[in-house]
Amino acid sequence: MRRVAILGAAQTRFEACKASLAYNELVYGVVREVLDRTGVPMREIESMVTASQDAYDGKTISGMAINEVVGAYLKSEAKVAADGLQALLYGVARILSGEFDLTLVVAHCKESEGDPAAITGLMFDPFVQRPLHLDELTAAALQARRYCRKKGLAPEDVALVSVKAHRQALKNPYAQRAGMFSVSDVLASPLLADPIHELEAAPRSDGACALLLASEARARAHTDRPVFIIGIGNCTDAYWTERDLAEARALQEAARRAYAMAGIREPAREIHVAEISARYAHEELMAIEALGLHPNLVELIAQERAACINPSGGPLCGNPPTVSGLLRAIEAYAQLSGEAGARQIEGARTALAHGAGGICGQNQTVVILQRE
Amino acid sequence: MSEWIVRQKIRIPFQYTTGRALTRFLTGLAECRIWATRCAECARVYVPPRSFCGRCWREITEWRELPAEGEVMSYTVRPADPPLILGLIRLDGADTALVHRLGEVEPEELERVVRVRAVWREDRTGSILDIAYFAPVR
Repeated sequence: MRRVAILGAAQTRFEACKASLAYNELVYGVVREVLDRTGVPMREIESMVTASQDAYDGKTISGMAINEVVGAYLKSEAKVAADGLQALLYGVARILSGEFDLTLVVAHCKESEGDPAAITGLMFDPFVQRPLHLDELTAAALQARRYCRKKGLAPEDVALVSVKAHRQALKNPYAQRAGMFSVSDVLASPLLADPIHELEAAPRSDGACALLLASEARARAHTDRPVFIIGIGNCTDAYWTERDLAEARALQEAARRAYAMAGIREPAREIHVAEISARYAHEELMAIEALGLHPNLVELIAQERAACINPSGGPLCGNPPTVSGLLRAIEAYAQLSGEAGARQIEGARTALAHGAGGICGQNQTVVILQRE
Repeated sequence: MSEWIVRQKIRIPFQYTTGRALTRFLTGLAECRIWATRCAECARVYVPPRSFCGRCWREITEWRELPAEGEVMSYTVRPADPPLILGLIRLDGADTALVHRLGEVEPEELERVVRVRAVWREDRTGSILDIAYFAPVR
């Protein structure tokens, strides 16, 4: 069977407002960097998959507004209006089909341009939920309380995720928010929607990232130690008010599929580094549990091995929706190719990237990467 | 580097078709009645009602009325003046949750609130807002 490798990747520095660059300029910057790093000329790339959201771009068919900067003229291009890790999934499928040897995967979002509450509010049922002015944050808060009650988690347990994330982000030059915060600092930050505090929610963020996928033959011609994508799983659950929000069944199922494809039986031992798309601190705990990364999540967060979970800091340290899932794969790739700089986890050979979309993680994607 | 911004506002008037299930639900609210549907295969009771059960992938045709009372599964308080309290409410006999405002309660009392009942508006129009809020059953 054909295998798919990652040839190279790039990301912008993430900031609350990148006011001097339009989103197509952000995208050009990361695509340019991927090509410079890999030495692959644009004319050799036959296919592209982009991730963007019309509502965030303030423009329908938003993929068409970046086709010139992703090099898509007279080539095969498709856009997903979903989390960027789904764009990776489709990019992998394109190469596995045998039709293409190289596929560029790109995601961008400038949250600063629109009103995130109004935009995420459009996700909700217009008949019985939108009249109550719901947004992503409100739904996340309802999930956080339900999950913490069911699992018996204290506010301090969840705050610890934020402490760890911001501490790890100090080593990530692309991070928007980093620092040595204490549990009491986190719990003293303003309550956005009880029980979620400001430091427990992803900040509003602008940025982009890109990654180049290649067939095994193409990758071998390029490098001696390719990083392969060895497992992918995706799963969708019921609408958020029609399932128990304390459970992450779609993520469990996505992980089961990805682990089966990758031949992973003991994820807690076999996954050396995991990048998790937690836009809210409690989501990281839910994911660690659903992914089977550790039997006791609170214990894990408090100990040293926690450094292997979101060494980049994750979305809590700033990266926008749509971008965050693809960025998890880029960070995982950086770990496996030894390009993670100060945030490098030594000896990492197998990594996990997680992406989520929809209200309270209705859609989940898990990707397993491995260095040869 | 230069920074220049163009400000616009996107406004799209929209008229959503409610469809069979929600038409009965919303018009029922105008009469202070709460209609749910029940899947004949898995017996799940949906409120707001669904015409289809996604789990069993089949059409739902069975209707039942639910009491306007249930349990708070979760809540959140959003800072505002006065604070906006929203709850996830499981009505008695339902397997899904209804999101709505919680009223007649102070934020600090919420941890003790288990059961709530709907408080209806006088001027009902066939809208989810025909329920003004859910109040604690004391």
